[in-house]
Amino acid sequence: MQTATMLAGVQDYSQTQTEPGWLTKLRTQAVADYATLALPVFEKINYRSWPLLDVQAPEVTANPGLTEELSARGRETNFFSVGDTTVRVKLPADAADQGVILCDLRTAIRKHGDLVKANLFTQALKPDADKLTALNAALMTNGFFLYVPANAVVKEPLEILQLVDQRRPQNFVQHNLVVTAPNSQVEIVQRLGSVGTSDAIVHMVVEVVAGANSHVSFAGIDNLAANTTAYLNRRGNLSPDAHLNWELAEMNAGQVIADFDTELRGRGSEANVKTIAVANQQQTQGIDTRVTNYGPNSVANIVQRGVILDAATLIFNGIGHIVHGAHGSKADQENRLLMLSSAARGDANPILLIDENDVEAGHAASVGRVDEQQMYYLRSRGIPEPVAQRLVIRGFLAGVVTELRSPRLRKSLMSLIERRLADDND
Amino acid sequence: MSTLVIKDLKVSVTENEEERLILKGVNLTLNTGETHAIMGPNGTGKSTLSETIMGNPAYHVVSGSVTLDGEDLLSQTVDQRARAGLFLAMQYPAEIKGVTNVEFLRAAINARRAKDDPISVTDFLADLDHNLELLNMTPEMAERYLNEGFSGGEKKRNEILQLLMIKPKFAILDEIDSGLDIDALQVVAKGVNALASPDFGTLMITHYQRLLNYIVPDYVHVMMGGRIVKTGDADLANKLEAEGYAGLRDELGLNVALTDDE
Repeated sequence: MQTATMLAGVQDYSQTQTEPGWLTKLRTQAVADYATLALPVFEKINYRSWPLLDVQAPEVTANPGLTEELSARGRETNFFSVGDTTVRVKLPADAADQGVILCDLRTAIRKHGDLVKANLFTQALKPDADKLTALNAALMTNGFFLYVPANAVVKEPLEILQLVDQRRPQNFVQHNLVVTAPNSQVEIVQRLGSVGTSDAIVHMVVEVVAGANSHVSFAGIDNLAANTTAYLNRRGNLSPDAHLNWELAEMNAGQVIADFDTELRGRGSEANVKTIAVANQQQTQGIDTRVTNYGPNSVANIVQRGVILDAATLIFNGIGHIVHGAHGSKADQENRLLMLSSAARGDANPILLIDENDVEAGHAASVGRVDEQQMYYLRSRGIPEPVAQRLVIRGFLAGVVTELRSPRLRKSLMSLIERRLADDND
Repeated sequence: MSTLVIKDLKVSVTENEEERLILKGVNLTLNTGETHAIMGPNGTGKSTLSETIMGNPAYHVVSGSVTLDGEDLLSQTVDQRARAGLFLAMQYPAEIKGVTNVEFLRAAINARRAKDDPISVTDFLADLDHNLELLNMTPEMAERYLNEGFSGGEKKRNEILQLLMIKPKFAILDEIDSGLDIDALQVVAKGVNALASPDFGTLMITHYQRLLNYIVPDYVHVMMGGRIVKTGDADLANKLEAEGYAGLRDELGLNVALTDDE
């Protein structure tokens, strides 16, 4: 898209939405940045031929055409959207009583402008980080906004379901923002999926701005359809003593590059990033997971496990970066891939960048095949090969993202994994 | 009654890129209702025999046959052989994290049943509780990941637990006594003896006579140099205990090197 066309489209959209001046300005600058910035580099993944940049300026979308079946998918959620349309927002009474805010981004911009302005593209992520981030800043339409006030403790996990409406070809550019004030506590489950099978280009950003001593668990289950090309970007920014646990399951069927970055800004802050991924058929999923220790005594743990079938490609780049001044901090990571076919391609690259002395850092990585001893043992008890393989894989993924607190979600994730593994037998 | 017949079985393994013949013509017939023991010195091919019957891909059959009730087993996959009625209690059971003992046992039992007729939870649990108690195992062991972090003795008990749950036609116990103290040995023996019936046959592989005090064999076979060189009753084991393998070798006039001679 030409810069001028993009700019006209963006400003037109911003006006239609009656967005505040600061946001129109942010978008305008992002259009200029988009034109000049380079694409982010993902080691060992060449995505230049992907249609990620073929995105049009946003338009206000029509009615999402909710069917009964579609509505049913969002029934038990706290936030449910189809495309840009927010279908349902329902906060548990206990959370609402404590002043928790959950709404879509459009509403937040109108009703909680100061909170959005202070946190959107200001802390966890800058709009000029790279070309794809600038694109998100320029073209984002909607998303969810969650604010947890100081000292609030949300007991039940908040469940977000966002569906890309692929019943017709679709652009999906969304931005989600989570802000947790000091000493608060919240658990979030974000599920990203598709309805329909048309082509779609998906740009999805999540920012988590975690205040001092706030504790945030964020589970992301991404399950986009086959004809999707996606850029997923989840960012965390942690104040002193804040804890952020990411549990991410990449169960997409299309092409995906994902950037999961967390900045440990505050002293004593801690991030645990656990990622599992299953890649099958012809798809490529490339996942960069980075945690940067800025604060002294900060702790970073990355654990990634991936399974590759058919002729798929799965790349894990794990980046642990301890910057100068982060005394007494720790950075640990483990990246493991299991290859189930000779045509599969996989890479697990641990990268440690250490600019301080009194720190602890470690990494482990492996790319392997199914353990023949385990297979022999299981089969010697009469278990057929495909079932035995499923059990070995389940063991391989165990303990990484299967600890979701809600039994319903745990079960749905397990069956999602099983389906992904069975795809090649269809 | 079922019958497992091993005929003139020759088996090699690959060592340093060369094939080495381990079994040089083994003949053995087992009927259900019988308990057999194979004894023999180290390196004589006892484990090769058990792994070959089960179908471990590391062992290559050169010639001969293994049949169960007339059906060829050697052309079947490992899991087919297991479903046909074989069970091998292994010397070194694999550890599998993330899969609990209970899940594994159910998968093994249901692999033998029609897809639309899995074992009922009540029946399964009743049998499991009964067998855990028989083997002095805590219910907590059933919930643990398969063999993960189990001690040597716990792994052996777990092999017998699987045996009791799966109820095969033939069990091959490969050095089930190794690394067990007397108490544990008695428990394991109790488990095996509990299965005694006209529809169940056992083939024990052991170095030592001691196991045979607890699981009394009908037949004792002595294996040396890749062949069964003598078959007798339980007394043969006692004689071996007294005279050692070298004595029997010299009595039979065999030209076989025993590992400990070297």
